[in-house]
Amino acid sequence: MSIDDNSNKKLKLGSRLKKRFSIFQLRNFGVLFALIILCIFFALMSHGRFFTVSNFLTVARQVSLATIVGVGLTFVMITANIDLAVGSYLAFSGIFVAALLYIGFPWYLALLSIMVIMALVGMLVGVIVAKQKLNSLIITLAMMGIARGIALAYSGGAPIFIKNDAFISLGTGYIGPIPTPVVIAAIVLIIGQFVLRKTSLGRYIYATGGNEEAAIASGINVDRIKITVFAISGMLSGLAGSILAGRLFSGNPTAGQGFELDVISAVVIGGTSLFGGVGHMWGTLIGAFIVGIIGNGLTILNVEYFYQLIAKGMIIYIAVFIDRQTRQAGLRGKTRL
Amino acid sequence: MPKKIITILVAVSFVLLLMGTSSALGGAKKKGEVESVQKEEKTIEAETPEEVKKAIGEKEEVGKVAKEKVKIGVIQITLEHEYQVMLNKGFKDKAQEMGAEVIVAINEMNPEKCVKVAEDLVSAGVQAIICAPADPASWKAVLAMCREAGIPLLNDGSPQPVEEGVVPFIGTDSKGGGRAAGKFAGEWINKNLRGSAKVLGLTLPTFTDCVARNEGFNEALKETVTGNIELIEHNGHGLREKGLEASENVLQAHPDLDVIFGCNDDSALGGMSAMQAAGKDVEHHLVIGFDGTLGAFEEIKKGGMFRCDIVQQPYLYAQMHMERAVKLARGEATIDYYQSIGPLYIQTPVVTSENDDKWIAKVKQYMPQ
Repeated sequence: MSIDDNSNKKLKLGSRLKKRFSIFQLRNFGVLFALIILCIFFALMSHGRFFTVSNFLTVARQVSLATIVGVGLTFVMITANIDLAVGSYLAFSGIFVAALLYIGFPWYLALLSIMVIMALVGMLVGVIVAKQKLNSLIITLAMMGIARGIALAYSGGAPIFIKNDAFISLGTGYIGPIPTPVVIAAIVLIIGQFVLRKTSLGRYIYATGGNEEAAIASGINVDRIKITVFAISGMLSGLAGSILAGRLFSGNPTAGQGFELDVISAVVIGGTSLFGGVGHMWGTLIGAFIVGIIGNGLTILNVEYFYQLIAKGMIIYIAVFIDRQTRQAGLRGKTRL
Repeated sequence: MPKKIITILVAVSFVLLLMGTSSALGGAKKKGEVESVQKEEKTIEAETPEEVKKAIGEKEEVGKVAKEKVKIGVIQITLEHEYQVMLNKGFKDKAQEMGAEVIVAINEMNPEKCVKVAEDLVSAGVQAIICAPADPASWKAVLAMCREAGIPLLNDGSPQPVEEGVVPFIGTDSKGGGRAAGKFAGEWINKNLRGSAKVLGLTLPTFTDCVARNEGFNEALKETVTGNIELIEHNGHGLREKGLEASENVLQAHPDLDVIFGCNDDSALGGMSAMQAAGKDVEHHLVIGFDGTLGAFEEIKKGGMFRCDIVQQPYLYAQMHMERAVKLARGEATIDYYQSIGPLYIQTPVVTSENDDKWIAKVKQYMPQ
């Protein structure tokens, strides 16, 4: 049981409306606040270039991959584990989904196959972490090299082009006015939040990360939970890798380098603890938007690349700082939700 | 138990499936080989944009039209190399001269980042994009985006086939440059080593330009020498420390190595360090680089075994690209016009102890103070 849940129960909520609002976890109001400040700043500085519908959709499409993978990683991190291999999984799944399309798989079968394959890869990692009691940091670091290496070796370092238009539209298409990857990310996010909050699996995930021994004592099969979260992370990386392959018209062995760091930043900024037991999907979404908006906004403002790197680091720190301050202020005023 | 068996069966069947795709792909394309796109075409000898324009007969604009302020987006692969720094300065200087605003974004040779920064540039309202793609795949994605946004795309970086909506490549004649290096090496071997030598080529097989450089070098070397050439090739990763490491390993196997050609200056300089550490004498050993960086010129000036460098002229290419981009953005030129000119391969000057001072002065001018 997470801290949020406990505190939610303790509070006397005035109205149903307030209760509804607590879905958004006001504990994370701070980080949302940071996002809003960031948006206002860029909007004021960019002479109307930043605050447009088309740029919003651009950012949304850019952060959709980090959101999809972030949902998987949030599950993993709540169990007090980490998955560093997600960036390499993007390349791995992109290459193999392109290969499957090449030999004539229809797009849905290729997508389904790669998600199953990646779930199995994730399961393998989960089994090693759970059964051999090895630290996930080092196991997924090893997996990061292995998956990237296989992608490079299999493709010979060159991209494999995709000619299947239906598959390409997964990355480049629109559903109504909304880019397809954004729609997919939204569905994944909602399902993720549902699983985490409304199912027994979600409660077991919190319990495993919160206090593993207590979880075992209360009869939870902790090993199975760990294997499951790594499988989910792998599967969602496979989905994201497929979308990226569509976006790039090809499977690409060099794709996703450094991507894991963006996703981990997003998840942690979103309030998920590196030590497990705490976290939720809305925070991950906001975190992904913060990371995405920094790059987009700084480019629009024409900040020099070297200074962009500095600014990025500073903004991430400030976002986390504002989050912490508002949370503490909330605690002092006893209005914490 | 049956659950486990099903899992294993599913896993095995997918592995078999992937092995199947592997053999299918293997038949369709040779893997691991990047071929150079460059065709045998006439190259242009020039050191300024004016000389290039004269050579191709590009019409100079007549009379000054009212200049509206335009915004040009530039995507470079990195800023952590002298070539890229000079390129960057060329873009900015030309833009300033023509009164245009320029936004530079870096793709870090990462395909999805390349697409992402291109999107950001479109959001920023640029009217043309000069792009050095992270790889052929991201090139295609950026092109699709530019077409959608109705923005002209200019090809900096690697030569790509001329495509609809793209201003063709301007840049180094990589193969010709390699040939110039091979000719120099061959003549030097004839003069100093009686026409026979053991030669190490430091390569970068994932980079098309470098593949063309080594190809050109090998070709011209074999044509020029009178005796026998034993050619060894090794990946120098385009980096000084990797070039050093590769050369050290080769020197272990071939202690009688005579010549090193690095497909770029950094790997060549690494190779030179390895030769020096192995105690090779200056008179009977030769190192040749490719890039035109200050570090290489200074080695030539020192009078050691680094005797020759093939020069790329990023400052020139950047000026040409920027001028075209600004003209396109202002509607003073059309993509069709530039496509009719076709790609421009600029000849690579050869720097030796005879002309090193001129080039040192020239390059210093392009480096930010």
